[in-house]
Amino acid sequence: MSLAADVAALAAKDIRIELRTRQASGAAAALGAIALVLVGLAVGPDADRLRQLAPSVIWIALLFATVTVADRFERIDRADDAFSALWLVAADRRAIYLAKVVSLTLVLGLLQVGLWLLAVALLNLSLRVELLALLPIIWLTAWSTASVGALALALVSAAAHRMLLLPVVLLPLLVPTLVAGVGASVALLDGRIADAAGWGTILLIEAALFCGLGILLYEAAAAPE
Amino acid sequence: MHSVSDTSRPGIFLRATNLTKLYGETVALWSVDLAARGGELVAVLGPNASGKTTLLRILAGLTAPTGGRISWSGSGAGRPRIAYVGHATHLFEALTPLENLELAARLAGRDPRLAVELLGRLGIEASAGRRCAGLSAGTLRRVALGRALATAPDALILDEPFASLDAAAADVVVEVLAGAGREGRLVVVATHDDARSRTLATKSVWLSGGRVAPPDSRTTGTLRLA
Amino acid sequence: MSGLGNPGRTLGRVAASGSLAAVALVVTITIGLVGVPPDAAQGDVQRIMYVHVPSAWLAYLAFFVTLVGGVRYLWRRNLAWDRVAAASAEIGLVFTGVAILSGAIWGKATWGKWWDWDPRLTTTAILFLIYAGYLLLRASIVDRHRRARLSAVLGVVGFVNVPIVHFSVLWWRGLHQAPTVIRPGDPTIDHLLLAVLMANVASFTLLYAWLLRRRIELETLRDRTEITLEPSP
Repeated sequence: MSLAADVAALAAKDIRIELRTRQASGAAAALGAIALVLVGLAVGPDADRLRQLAPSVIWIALLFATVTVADRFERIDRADDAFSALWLVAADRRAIYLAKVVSLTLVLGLLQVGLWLLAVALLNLSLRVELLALLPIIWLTAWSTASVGALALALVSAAAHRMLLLPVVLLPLLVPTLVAGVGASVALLDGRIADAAGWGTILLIEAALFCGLGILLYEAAAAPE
Repeated sequence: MHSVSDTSRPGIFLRATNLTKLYGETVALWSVDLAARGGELVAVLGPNASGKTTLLRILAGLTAPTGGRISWSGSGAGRPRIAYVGHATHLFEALTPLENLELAARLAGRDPRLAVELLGRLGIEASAGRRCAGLSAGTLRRVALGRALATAPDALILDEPFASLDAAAADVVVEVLAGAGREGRLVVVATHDDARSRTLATKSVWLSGGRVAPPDSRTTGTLRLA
Repeated sequence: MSGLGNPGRTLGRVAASGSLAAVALVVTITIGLVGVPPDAAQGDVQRIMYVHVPSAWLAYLAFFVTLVGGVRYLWRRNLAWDRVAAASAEIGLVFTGVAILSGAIWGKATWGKWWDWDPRLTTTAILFLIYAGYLLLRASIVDRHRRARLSAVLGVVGFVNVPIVHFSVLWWRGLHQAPTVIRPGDPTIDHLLLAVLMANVASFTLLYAWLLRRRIELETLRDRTEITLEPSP
């Protein structure tokens, strides 16, 4: 079967399982919401401060939720060693990577949308038309994060203490995405559309670069032997 | 529509020489040779910790040998289609058996409708629509075999396929494996089940302590009556 | 770089390059500490530059060598290259730590604060975290070839990340108009000081080369105490 069809079949598998078990999105949503509430509490009622900090808070909450989501998605394949079967049957093993990127992007993107909506309420953000421009930023960040995350998962799956090692390996690699994501959203909230577009371009380049690296390196990273 | 009984396949040939696997200083496998072709049924026999699982994983390409080599030929373009069922089920427990088999078939470029037929042959069509998480170990063993067959493999490598199966289910599996052999697939089975392997196998490999066992020391580890 | 060769001859060569590195270091650091005048603006504290800059340079060099070693391992699956990559990453991590520490001390003395989120310092800190992760990953995988393969992948991704992090933070800070500070590489730096700086960079590089060689030899010896059979072709 073609690469695209394989990717679609595998991503559909991830989404179907996630819809049935709601493991990844449930844990991530809880973690993200708690982070937002706690920071809101800690920062205090000053409306301006909350508004200023909003993008940073959301992106930090997102980063930690990413580790949870990524780990849960990996368990889908590793429980009962379903991964070995995929590895042997896949005509092109990069399909396994790309499918993971697709399903992670979807979940992380939806999670961000939820976090932003929650932030409008909790952190006193005003709903403006410019916020619609957040949508491409959200999806680009999700794609970039998913590309790095799927590769990092392949690296740590063989290791002892996977759950401890994943954030250590993954989070430093997500710094560029974090910086660009915060930069873009801060610019949007300030109404600086040109700056936001600049950051958006950077995000696009990052996402394409990391996805390309992942496609190149996935087989070396994920081979069971 | 493709039938599962696809007899027009080129002959697959396996040659493994001097296979060795060391974990640090532990010898899991030492200098094991094996040659087999499509249509043969190879039984790998021996007591626990004799290296059966290691050998099968190496043949499947899931473990890299420390020494020796494996070559597959006759599978046409690309790498040989190998299906492996180890001690785990290799299934997605949140999916149904039907969904698991359909996915496997799709990825192998086969018609997903084969899945229904396969589940019928294995006698588990009643469980086809229930999530794997709720099924018994015996049923899952058969679903796992079905998933492997759904990929229409050139070689089928099975570690203890009769474990957790009652006599009737085990007989069904024997028949399915014999059918796979008739279809020209190479079947390699590691088992303790001496009796069934004798009815099934066209060739046997006995392991002991990671090495091929000499004739006088062959045992499956089961108690034998004189 | 794949074997010990005649141990006696090798030790002789090692000792020679070690002595050379030691002599060079002593000479250049001494010149930096007492042989040249202090910077007009910053005073004596600026001398820390002779440790800070070479350390930072070496960190980047070491991680580049890790990248090369990893790529070469992936290409030919020769574990000797993995030993190069791993040894270089360890040394690189140490020098990154030295660069961060010396940078913090310098910053405290000149800006009045231990840390400033400027692109270079921030990138160096992220670099530290990435390669700490690299070594932690290695420590958690037992199989040598698997460890080599996975480290190589992380080495590639980690190194590619470095310029991206640098530019991201640079643009980010650009929006906030970070205060400019006298930095080495600033074209107004005195030519003499620059020469001494370059001399220190050279001697530190000799130190790196010697450390790398020793570390690789240690790892090679360790590998040879295990019973091994390389897979025959």
